[in-house]
Amino acid sequence: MDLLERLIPPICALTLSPLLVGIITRTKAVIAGRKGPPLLQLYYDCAKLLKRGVVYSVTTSWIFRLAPLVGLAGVVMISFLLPLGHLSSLHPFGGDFILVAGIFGLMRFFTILGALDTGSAFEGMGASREALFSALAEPALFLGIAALVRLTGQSSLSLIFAAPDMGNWLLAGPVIALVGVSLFIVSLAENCRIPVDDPTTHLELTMIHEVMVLDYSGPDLGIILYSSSTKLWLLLGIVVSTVTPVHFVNPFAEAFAQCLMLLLLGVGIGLVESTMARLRLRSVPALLCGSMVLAVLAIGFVLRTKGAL
Amino acid sequence: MTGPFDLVLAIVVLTNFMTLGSSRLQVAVRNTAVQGCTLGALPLLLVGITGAPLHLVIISVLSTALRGVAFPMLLTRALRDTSINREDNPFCGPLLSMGIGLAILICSFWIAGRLAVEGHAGHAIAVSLASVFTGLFIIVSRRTAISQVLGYITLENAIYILGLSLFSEIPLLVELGVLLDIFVAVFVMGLLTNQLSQTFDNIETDRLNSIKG
Repeated sequence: MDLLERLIPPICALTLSPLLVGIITRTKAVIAGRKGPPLLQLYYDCAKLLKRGVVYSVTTSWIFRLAPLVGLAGVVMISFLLPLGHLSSLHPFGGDFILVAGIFGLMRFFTILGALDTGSAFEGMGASREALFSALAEPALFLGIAALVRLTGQSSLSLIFAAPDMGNWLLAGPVIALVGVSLFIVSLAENCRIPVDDPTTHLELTMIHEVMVLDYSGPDLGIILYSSSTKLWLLLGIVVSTVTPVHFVNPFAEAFAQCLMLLLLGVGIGLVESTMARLRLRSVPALLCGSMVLAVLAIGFVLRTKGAL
Repeated sequence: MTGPFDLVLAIVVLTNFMTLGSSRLQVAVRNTAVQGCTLGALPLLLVGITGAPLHLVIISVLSTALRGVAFPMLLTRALRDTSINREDNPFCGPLLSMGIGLAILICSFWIAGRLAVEGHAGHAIAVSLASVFTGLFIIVSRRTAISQVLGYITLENAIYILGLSLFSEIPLLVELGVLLDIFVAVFVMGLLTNQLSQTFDNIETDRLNSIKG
């Protein structure tokens, strides 16, 4: 039973993540007055792409073919490391969030290498932007989690999210709010959503993530689409676990509630994307710096609070 | 933890950073207005809304009226009369300004952590220190008169936070005197902005150097 419980978060992440993207797309379509693609469109897309043949450019090497697989392996591994609300991960250990951030970094590194491997000027440009923005987003992620570590006195993500202080808005409202918003901005940036990047754009000059995968086709592209949707689910999962105020004892009820929260957050992202325009590339660092400010402020508050207790 | 109190402090810090990160003057004025309105509630939050003595209520109402409404209106008027609505070539760009602001914030929390003050007063000291230095930084890093007034208001707000949270028993008369002083200062600076824009068609204070005798 315990093992089954611990398998719930990865199973949810790996099966439901394309639905999250579907919900975001649907929300945007409804707000724009369109009907939009089916909610399960990404599942169909991935299934279709997996059946297709694959074309490799003659200038590419084995790195280009390895990159999507590293991405897939990365998200699967992270899904086993991240808790979902009060549901513990498979094997919580102290400092596991550093491993999580490291694997995200590894995935990004290989995506960038794969993009550079094609020798395309546009992909190189996208790779450089991806590297810059993620370098700015990572400190914010670490600072945000550091505030949570300090707040709860735990050093493993599973224990942090299961601690009584966590999600207790009466005890630590401002800190949770600050960290929640900061992590939300980080996950928007990491997943290349509006306002950092527009995932639906097809103008190479402004794209970040999409431009890096232009040369992939067939099963590789399917794997990339699937991994990026799972990455979105996992990062938003951290946000949801941070801000959720109530938890259930029953693991299935808890999993259901958390997944529901995540899908609701997907609607929220759809609203953000419908109402905001993509920022100019030059303004993105200021936004990420802002998320760093939120995290630093949260740490400041937590430091003083623990001193007073 | 006193939730609402920390929330006010958080809003103060965030509005400071929004001012640092924006080059549009109207946005910066609006941030100051938000900050002023939020700070107006501070005296009441300190003692609880129901049990507030009369002089704190008066301070609260007057602060909101001046910091949250009157100053922004004055500055908006001054902005409307000039044709400049952006901080075009500040000495520090938005990103560098925010980075420096971040460094200031970290240093302030570090300094406040070394003082032997417990609880929410500790947060208030950190935030007001950060605001003081942010205000000073805005004054030295921007060129237009409006931005410098905003820096001055930020600086003054910081002193107000510090005073209120450390000595909640500030005499009404002192606080009123301070408010009158700031009002006159902002008023005069608004006039200065007007004069600048009429004389030079520009509101950058550097231009004042050219009329040196």
